[in-house]
Amino acid sequence: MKWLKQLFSRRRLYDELDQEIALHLEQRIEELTASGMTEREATAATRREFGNVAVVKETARDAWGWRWLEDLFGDLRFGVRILRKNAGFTAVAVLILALGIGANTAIFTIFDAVVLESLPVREPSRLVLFTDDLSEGSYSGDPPSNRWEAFSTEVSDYLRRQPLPFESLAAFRSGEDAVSVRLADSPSASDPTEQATAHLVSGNYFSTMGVDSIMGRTLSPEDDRLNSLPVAVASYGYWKQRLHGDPTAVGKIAYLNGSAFTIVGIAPPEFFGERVRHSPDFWMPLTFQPQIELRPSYLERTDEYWLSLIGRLAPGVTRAQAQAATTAALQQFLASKEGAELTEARKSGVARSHVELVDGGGGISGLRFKYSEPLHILLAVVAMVLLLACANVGNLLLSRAATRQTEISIRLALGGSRFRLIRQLLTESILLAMLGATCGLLVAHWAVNVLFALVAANSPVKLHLNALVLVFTIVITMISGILFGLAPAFSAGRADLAMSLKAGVRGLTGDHKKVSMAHSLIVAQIAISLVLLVGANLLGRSLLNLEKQPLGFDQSHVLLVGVSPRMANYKPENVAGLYRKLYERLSTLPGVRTATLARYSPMSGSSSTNNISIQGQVDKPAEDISVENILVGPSYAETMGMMLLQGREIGLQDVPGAPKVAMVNEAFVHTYFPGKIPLGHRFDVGKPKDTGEYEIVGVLRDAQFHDVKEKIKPMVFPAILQDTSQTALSGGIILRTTSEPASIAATVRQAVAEADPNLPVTDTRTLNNQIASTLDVERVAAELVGFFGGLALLLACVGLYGVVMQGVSRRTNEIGVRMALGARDRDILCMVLRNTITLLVTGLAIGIPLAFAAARLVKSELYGVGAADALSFIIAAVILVSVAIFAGLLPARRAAAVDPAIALRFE
Amino acid sequence: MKKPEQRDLFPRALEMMVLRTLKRQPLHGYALAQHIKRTSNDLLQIEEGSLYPALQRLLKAELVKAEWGISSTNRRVRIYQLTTTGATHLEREVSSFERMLEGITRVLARRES
Repeated sequence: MKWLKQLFSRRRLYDELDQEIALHLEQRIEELTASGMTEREATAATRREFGNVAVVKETARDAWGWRWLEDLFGDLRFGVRILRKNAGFTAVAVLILALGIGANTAIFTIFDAVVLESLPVREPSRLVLFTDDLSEGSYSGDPPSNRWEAFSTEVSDYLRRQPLPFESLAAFRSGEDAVSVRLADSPSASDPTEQATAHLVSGNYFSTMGVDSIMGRTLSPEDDRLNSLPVAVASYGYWKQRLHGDPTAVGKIAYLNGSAFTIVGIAPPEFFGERVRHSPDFWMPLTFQPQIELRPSYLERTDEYWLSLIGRLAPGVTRAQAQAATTAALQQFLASKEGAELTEARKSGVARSHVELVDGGGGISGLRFKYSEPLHILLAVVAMVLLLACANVGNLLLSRAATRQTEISIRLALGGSRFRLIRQLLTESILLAMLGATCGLLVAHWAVNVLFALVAANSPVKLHLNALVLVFTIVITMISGILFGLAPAFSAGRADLAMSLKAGVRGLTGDHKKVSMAHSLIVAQIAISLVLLVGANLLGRSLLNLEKQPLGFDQSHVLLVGVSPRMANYKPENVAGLYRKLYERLSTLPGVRTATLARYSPMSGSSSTNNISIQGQVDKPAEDISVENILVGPSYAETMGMMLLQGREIGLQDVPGAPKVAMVNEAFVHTYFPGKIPLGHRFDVGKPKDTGEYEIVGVLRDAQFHDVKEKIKPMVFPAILQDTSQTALSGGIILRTTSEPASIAATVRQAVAEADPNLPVTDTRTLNNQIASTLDVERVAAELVGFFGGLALLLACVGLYGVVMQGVSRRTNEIGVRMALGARDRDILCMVLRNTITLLVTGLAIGIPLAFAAARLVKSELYGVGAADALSFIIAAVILVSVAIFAGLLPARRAAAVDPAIALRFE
Repeated sequence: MKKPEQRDLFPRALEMMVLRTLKRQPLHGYALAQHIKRTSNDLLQIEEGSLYPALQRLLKAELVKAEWGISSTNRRVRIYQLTTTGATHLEREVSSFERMLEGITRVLARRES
């Protein structure tokens, strides 16, 4: 504080010092005149005795230690004056820097929000997840003999009761459920029911997450008891929008899937659960799984793995310690449960059972999963753009330093220290960088909004210029200010005084060094541009390959219609009737070519795998045969545009009671019936029964249902109309239309309502859209790298143009002489172009190995092109060379147009 | 950044003399300069001006404090006064200087004999 007080009162301190010194001199002169000297003599003697007044004052002021700060202010004032005097130069430099710094801030803001941001809960760093895998849902079967990610009620309850090093350990349903909602006080019971999402969680879920309600209470462990009352916590968004922020909402009844739940509290607005996406509308205790999911209870089943766990570590405990303790508890449980029956094989299975804890502070984030790597690449890309921008502005400063040579020489000649001079120049460049950063923040603000709408429109992730982002921007601003300021500052500091003063304004000496420095900066820009252009080419070509990849079905003119028979109270036994009715009604709808049903559609994110056993193939144990299993309706192959290679497709004749049939894909045949005809063979789903439940009646051409980068798995397509398991309730409608599919969505909804007015249509979308959105990441990455590559190319070529142009104007005289001596236009053109080409070739020679190294780093993002893809390199180089030659040609033509008479008079 | 006063005096000597003088009585700058000059019998070639940077350093270190007052010639002057920290500092400086001087004297004496 004293420090600050002194800083602000230093003017007064200095004034007092001045007064005191003046007084001293006055007194001395008075004394000396009194002793008989003339006033002139007295003054001279006093000054002699006192010493240099200015130096004394300066030294005395230095005692306070404010010199550096005052110098800084002085430098800043001078810098502002210089920048204002060269408004054009300043504007160009600020624009270039704003682009560079803005791009970095924008990408970093998104990186921060998507990759670094923590869940909005208390002390997120202590949260651990048992998996951060994106997949949701449950599976049934034997306990895993490797990593446990999903848990049965039994194991989850056991672990949660153990004295493990967690402050608390909570369980939650892996995935959310769609429920119908009717509010108790709505005017009539016949109100159309609304749909909402519900998440089943253990009573201590909220306390483990570290979240409090803003009204009422959250769930508590008492709510986990088997006969406790049905209660639910509503999300803030649901309360605001659907309950209209009703202050008396707590205590009200909501009928969820027909069961009455009391709303006991409202969650805080920022909370969205452990998954980074739209918040579920309700949270309720796990015990209400049968009511919420409308299926037989999972609570007592020991073979249904439907729960995920999240823990809050006890203070001072590391993730590794908790992981070891939990694994030990799990193995002990498994060993004691199976007791004496434990075979040698199971023993080793138990020994291999373990948990792996992962950092839960960021939650489970699809965005982070998808964009983490592309964002790392983009950070590198924008860093290169900034480097290039710095080289560019460095060149501008160099050319301006030439015109400032006289000023600098004079300052040095007057005894200014070189250190102070360099400091002054660096202050100027940092000032310039700060101006650039200010405009850059505006650029970033705009860019972030555009970009984020592109990648994450439906995410609760919030973008804000927080402290971290600002610190990042300030740091890169300082670094870039120093980077682009260094070259001109040091070349100025090295200036040869006498020579440059003699040479006058156009300082001829030092020029050689400056020119070579300008040239190396251009070479660096060309090299960086090449790296970015190659990267853009590789990513663009990967994207093209992905888009061109044959999927095995015809995605155009397909409408996907989601329905929920479960919510309309259908049971596995009677749903086939509904499906049949829908099929018959929709097949004849105008605008519909064919209709079918299926458990899920390609690229929907859903997947269902089962172990099967093939009758007669005893050499393969059941767990080795894992296939994707999709229930489908009649006319499936025709509607999907999938080619039927052998046999027949499933039709209306395949009804309950008739022999069960299934189609398989090519991959299935290659794996299990290599070189044979599979038709007529039989298989079972689930545990080996050897009853041959399903007969293979058809073979479909392979179709990609998931990530196009993956291999197509063996698949079976049993008839949905014959299925009487719970799975049969999750069918959806697929239509092949005669015109634009989206245009008939309303007609389809109406037809569904005619088939059953209670059946909710949950979603309509075109297959085209569903597939396009799966390549979002690749598209955004390719577009952005392409954009930055273009920007880099533009900057580099403007820089090249500037340097060549300067070279031409410096050599105007020489050119005039040459022309006077008989050189023709073409000779001059070639002479100037040679300069450009030398720079280009050097840039390429450095850029190609760099690009090669960079391409290897992004190899995992490439598809169908190698990191050393020659075509990408050639395309990039050709673009770069042609644009650069064009930029070099302009000054060359101007040189060729020089009139020798004028040129010779030029100086 | 040249400090001419330090060419003739070892660092801190001037400050020590200022503190010693102020210990006897508070003085203003001019009087202080005249006093040091007089008592040293003009033996020390000090530029009077160098007194002021020294005073500023002492002010910053809070070894002396300054107040505006009226001089004997009826002028408004800044009068310097030793603080308690200044007094202790002076004692330390003097004793360490005396030890140093003793050492130097011994060395010089031995060379003469």
